[in-house]
Amino acid sequence: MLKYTLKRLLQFIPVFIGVTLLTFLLLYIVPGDPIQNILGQRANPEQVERLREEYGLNDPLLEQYGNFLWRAVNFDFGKSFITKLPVSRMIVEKLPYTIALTVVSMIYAVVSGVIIGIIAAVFRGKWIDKLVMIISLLFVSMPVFWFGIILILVFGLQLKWFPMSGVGTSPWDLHYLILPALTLGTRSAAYLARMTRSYMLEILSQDYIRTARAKGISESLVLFKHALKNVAIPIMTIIALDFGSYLNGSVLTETIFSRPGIGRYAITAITKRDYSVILGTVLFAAVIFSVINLLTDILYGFLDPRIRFDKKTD
Amino acid sequence: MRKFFVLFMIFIFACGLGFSVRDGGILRQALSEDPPTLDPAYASDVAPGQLGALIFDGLLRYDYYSTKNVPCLAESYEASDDASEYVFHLRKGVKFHNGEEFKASDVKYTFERVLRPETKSPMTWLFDMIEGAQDVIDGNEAHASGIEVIDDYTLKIKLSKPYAPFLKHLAMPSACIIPQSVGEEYGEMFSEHAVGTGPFKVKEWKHDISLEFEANLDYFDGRPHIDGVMYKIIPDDLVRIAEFEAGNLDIATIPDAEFKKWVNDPAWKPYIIHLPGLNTYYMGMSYNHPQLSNLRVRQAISMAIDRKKILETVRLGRGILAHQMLPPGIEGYDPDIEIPYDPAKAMQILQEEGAAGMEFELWTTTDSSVQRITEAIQAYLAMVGINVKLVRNDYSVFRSAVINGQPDAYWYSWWADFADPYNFLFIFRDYRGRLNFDDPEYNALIDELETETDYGKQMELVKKITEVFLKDLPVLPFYHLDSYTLYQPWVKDLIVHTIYNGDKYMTVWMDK
Amino acid sequence: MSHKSEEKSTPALNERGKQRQLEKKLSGESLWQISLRKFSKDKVALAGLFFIFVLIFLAIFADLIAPYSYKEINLDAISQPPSATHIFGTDFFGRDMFSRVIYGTRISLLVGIVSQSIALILGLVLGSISGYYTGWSDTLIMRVADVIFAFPSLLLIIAIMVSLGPGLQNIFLAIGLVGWVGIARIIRSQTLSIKEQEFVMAAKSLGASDRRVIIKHIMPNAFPPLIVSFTMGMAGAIMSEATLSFLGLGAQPPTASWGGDISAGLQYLRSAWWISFWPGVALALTVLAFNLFGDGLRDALDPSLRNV
Repeated sequence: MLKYTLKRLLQFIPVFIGVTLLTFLLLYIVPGDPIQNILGQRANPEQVERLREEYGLNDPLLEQYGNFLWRAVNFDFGKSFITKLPVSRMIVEKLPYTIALTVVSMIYAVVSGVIIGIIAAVFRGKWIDKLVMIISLLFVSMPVFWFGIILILVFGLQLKWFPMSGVGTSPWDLHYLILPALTLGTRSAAYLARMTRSYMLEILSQDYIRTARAKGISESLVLFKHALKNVAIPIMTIIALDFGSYLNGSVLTETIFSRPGIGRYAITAITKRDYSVILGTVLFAAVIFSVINLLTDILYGFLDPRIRFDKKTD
Repeated sequence: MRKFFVLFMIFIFACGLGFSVRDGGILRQALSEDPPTLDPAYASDVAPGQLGALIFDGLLRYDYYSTKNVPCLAESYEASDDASEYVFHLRKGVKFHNGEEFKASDVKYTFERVLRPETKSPMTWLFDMIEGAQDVIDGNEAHASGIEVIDDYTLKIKLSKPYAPFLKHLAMPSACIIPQSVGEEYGEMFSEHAVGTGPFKVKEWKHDISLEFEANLDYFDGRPHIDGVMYKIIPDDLVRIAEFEAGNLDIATIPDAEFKKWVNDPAWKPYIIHLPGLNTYYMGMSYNHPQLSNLRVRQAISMAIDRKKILETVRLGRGILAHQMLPPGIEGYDPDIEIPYDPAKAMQILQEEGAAGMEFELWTTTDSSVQRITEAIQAYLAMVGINVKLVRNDYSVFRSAVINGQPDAYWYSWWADFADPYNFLFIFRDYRGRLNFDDPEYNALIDELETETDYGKQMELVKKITEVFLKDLPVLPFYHLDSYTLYQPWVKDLIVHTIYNGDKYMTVWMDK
Repeated sequence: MSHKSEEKSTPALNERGKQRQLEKKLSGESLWQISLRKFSKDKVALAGLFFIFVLIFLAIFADLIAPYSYKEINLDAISQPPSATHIFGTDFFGRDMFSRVIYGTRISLLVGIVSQSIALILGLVLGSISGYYTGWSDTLIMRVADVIFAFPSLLLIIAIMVSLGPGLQNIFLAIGLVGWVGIARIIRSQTLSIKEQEFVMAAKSLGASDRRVIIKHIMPNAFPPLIVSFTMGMAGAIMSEATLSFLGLGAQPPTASWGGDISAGLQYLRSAWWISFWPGVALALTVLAFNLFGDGLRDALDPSLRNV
């Protein structure tokens, strides 16, 4: 196990270098001059040249990359070309908002997804099962930004149950988190409901469950003691694998709900060509994402070394 | 000083007489994005200028009800006849928010800070006509010889050549005075510690969430009526207007999508400020393009597009049809000029010039309203057999391309830095690279306007320049966009100024 | 397509093969017949397939079906609510929304098919090279895959779009360049397990070229998971196009794209709901159809593939 963990950790190094290289190269070929952007309509060529020099944009590519890599290792992404604020400081400031949104959305998605999935499985083939499955698929098929705006108009403006924008007193202010979490989590909830249902169905048809039932053990005990225990691990894997969808969704959700998270920070920087901010945020997101994947893998190995993911055991 | 006509000022009186102005209340507004900076040296955008007017003061400011410049931190000034030398007498006893007293040395410091290469300010053009300024820009000198501190309250500025609009530069956001001590302490990070002499102080800035100002009770012109201003950062247009509707914002601009809904609502009609803007939206046509460089083709294009219809439908009538670079509201505007719509004639000219079936690329940004305009242009030109290919890019990419003269044609706008015809007309002399348009006659007239101080002669020159412009037609003016501001009934005496940094919230009060 | 080779082989080493062999022995049908029979019983999946056919029909015959041009501007009839002349209403240009929704089918299907084909081809080629030859090419390809997999996909797609500039071709490319990783991983693991099996060894010893072994023996076995991944990927790609449009990186105007119309109409939700509503419905139904069809395919082709 230790060996496996170490091996996975070592594999992370080339990935990290690859991630930095790819981000760096993508930005390098981006059209549009960041310097022109800073200087505005009145820029003259000498000013542009001076600033390019200043920001090290005239250095050889390899040198620029080397500098970037070295600073990135030290969690120093330089400062924003536009606001002059240090990127790492801004990431630290914004991170709690993205974490809060992700965690609350995840809790919502997992709880509602699993419960709905179990209900659907128990009532397999009944109308409630069909209804749940169709509605969940519909939610999977709806664009996030559309859903978010509808929530704002209905629950924010019309019913006035929740605020439409802002964050309240802290990143964890639940009143402000509910609509964004609904927006971000519903797709995952729907997906989880479908997965839970099919895992449940599979396990409920297994021999030992049939035996338990035959022995006269109550249905709810069968469900919670035997069945649920066995679906827990595959469900957890799905949750971990779905983590990326939260990072993806936060880009849109944070913009629509005016939350100051990493996703919005990244997308604003992208549209303004704020190089250091794009490099910093994209790299940061990629590293976080890989670390989560790494942890999932390792944790997974600990939990149950026998289970292999795409395989049914007879 | 020349006389200014008071044009397009908007002043909303309290609903009836007998209401007395009351102190207190927070004015809540929304911004679509976190302001890039509060530092005057980097204030090249609307937001920093608008916000800066609240925190800082310049030597001059705009009159609240007109586009005239009036003294602010300078109590009075004398200008030499040829507009090349100015002496400013500064207001005494003015304190910065940190308690320090405002002195002539702060002015010198502020101006030189903008010029110094280490500041990397995009606004050096504001002061580069001051004697010795170029040496500071080039990093050869720390100080500009033309800025002379005579004593703590007297400052002399000498220009390297006569430049008539100079005083107007002094009312611009980047000419706002910051305290030398704070500027030196924080340098590039001054924005995070912004301190000025203005009617409001920065209370708290939570990036991407909100920006809060509180009233400066010791402001030299008396305290503002409101206790503070709260800006919430809300990126989505629809959410902003929804927050206003829910009563969570006191002021909002009407988005295009809901323009009719609000403007036609009798309940809101009294609470909308309609203001003609000092701007011109136009389509530039590059002389690099084989056919667009032909004047007759450019004229044909101008006749082929029903600009009026586009303005009224796609733009919902939110502006005034443009036939020249100057908007009404700028002296020298001539209401009698007309660029006609005549598609039949356009077709005929195109045939005569052998340009039927021509193609060009029209560059735009990804902004949705801009996209719609250009799509309409595309449709109109298709009717006369011109094939327009739209090239859509992020603003930053678009801007670089335009500055480098890459597009065949582009959709752009010019917004007044200050209220003067020169500010609209000089662009074709100074930005030749964009369209490769270079008419010596035009350039010479601009050179002349730059140094002319006599109002009557200025107007004559402006008339001539506009004639040359129409003769060349390097760009096709479309419209001058108006702004529509909504406010809640309890907001009183709100001013929306034609110049974005023209108001300091000294009149507005809350009846709540 | 039949799997002649499998008949010669000893019972397959992997579970999937074992199960399918078993089913086959019991029924005497070919594997594809089993799948087809299973699929034809799945009503929901059939409905999805039917809807996809409708979409393809609409896309091909859009010129005949749409009552108006998708790009012709009519400034005398802007933002009109649904009526007899314009059953879905008109947009801020007076363009007929019904026609735009019909034409939008083309773009959505195109985005799905082209981007997934790019992903599929890249995935097939790189995945089989990686699995078949192992060694340094395997290491290299899999590390690149790890790197791409390390990015939250949308962020990477956006970054690529920003580098390439907006436009339809670039959407294809960006989604395809990010999407091949999953496919390559499937192919690689298939290749790894199959190439050690006796029938492949036998074919090789009889002098079959590597290419022939890969194309004849390995790819057919990897086919079921691929077809599922392709279908599901279509749904994802169509959704990504909408998201890119929302961020201003979508297809260039006046192209009729659902994503573009949804996001352009979003601001009009309260004043002219129909501009974003109908393309929204079309998009949701299409993604739904591909998901249903994909689900059904997966169940029919191989029930153990739930996590592809």
